[in-house]
Amino acid sequence: MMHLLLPATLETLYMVSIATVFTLLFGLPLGIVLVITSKGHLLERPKLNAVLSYVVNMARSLPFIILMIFVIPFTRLIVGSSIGTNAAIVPLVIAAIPFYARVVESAIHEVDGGVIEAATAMGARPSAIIRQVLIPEALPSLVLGTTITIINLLGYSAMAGTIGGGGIGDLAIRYGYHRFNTEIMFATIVLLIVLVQLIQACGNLIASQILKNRRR
Amino acid sequence: MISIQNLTKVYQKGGQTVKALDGVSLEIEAGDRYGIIGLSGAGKSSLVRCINRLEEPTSGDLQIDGTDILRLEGAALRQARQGIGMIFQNFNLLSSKTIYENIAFPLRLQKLPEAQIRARVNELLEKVELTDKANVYPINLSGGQKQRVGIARALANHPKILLCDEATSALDPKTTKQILDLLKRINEELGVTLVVITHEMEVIKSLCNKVAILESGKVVESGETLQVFSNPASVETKHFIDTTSLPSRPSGAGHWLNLTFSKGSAKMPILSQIIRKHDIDINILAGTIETIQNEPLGRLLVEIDTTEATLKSVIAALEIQHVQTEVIA
Repeated sequence: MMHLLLPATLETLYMVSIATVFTLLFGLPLGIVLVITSKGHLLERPKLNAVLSYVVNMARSLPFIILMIFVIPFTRLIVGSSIGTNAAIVPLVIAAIPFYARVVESAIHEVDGGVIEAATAMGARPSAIIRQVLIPEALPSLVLGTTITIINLLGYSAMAGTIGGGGIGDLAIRYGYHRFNTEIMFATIVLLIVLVQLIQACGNLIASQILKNRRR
Repeated sequence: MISIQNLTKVYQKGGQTVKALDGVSLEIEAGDRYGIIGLSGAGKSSLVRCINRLEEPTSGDLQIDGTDILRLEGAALRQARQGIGMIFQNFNLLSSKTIYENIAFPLRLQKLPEAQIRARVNELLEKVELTDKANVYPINLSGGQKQRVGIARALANHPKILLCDEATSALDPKTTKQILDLLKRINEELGVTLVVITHEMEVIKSLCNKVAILESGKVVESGETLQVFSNPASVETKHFIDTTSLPSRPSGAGHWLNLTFSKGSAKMPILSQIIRKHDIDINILAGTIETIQNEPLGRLLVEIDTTEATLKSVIAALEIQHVQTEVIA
């Protein structure tokens, strides 16, 4: 059984970690732009904000399994194939960016307006306020939000298995479902539970460590 | 130094037009400790925020040392802001940075060399007596300590002006006094012009040499603090002074007079001289002595049972001695 579980787990970890990197890369700026272009914020741009918000909502309204099929032409364009682990990463990132952007948006929105005002009064440019005020002040919330996003990606990656993405989900479908292999089914479930617990525990630990540092 | 001409600020709220500032004109001179007092909603917060453009006025003119602040944009505005310190009611410190880093923040914005930043931050920590707290985070400080960090941070760039937005409103009376003393010292030692927004009379009395009373976006009275409060011309000003509640006026009794003793007259036995000279009885109903800018300001509410003619000569005698007299009908 291990010869099946081990490569599947590695595939899942590969998909989720690469997808996480790209999600952070695009989702963090998008989330910040959603905040600072909102009414009364650093760079108020109501129209841009409305358009971005609409697009984000649109992307989030598609169930992942449909989105995955819908973006196949785009996936082919980027990775040259629509099947396989790398191909699965593309829809994973596309689904996670708008989700993560909303997570970032709500975390950054919690930063006290007075602190932003103080930085503005000191003559800080918006880029300095983003890097030195908004992100550090929201860091514990951002870490917890990132944890939620990674767990979501793990769930999505299991679905991506159904279109040949590989990983734990793929294993569960092929052996557990199609071949009625209950043992494999159980093993994959246990594995997923353990993974989610580990990710959440890591996120909690990092966030509480940051907060603990700040009580020094 | 700060010249404000006919400043207005209008905004829409729930379909209604609100005039936060309605033609405000003020002259604040270099070295002033200028108090702006008003009830909440009077527009003081908007006024102080127009000085460093945290809020945009709708119309009017605002110059600092001859520079038209309202015309500045981008880098020039940021440059101007670095020369204007600001402290806040809620301190607004960065919870993610140590006290040292909070004070270093405005210096880092200018990308100063590290050695220069360290020297300046340590100097400021010493000035506000928080050297031992350099490496702790704001959450561990008391309100008064947080405000001292706020002051150190605001002074980092050697500003000529320090805007104080309800800087002591979240503090207890003892801490308030410490902060006000510190602000006064900063004004006297560094020559920093203070603009002090408050709703507390105590702040004006102990700190400010000049005062403006703001009511519904308008300046109803302004001038030297002692002058304004010893001879208040407007109902709003009296509202801030009348902290002692007067006894209710009984009908048919003698004449009631409100006497204000300031400068020299507070230290002289004027009343007893008048009693002897006019051979009348004076009944004291209420009295207070306040200290405004280190000058005693006494108030007495007295009752005199006498004829109109005697009353007139009594009032004349009082006013010769520089006692402000007001007959209460």
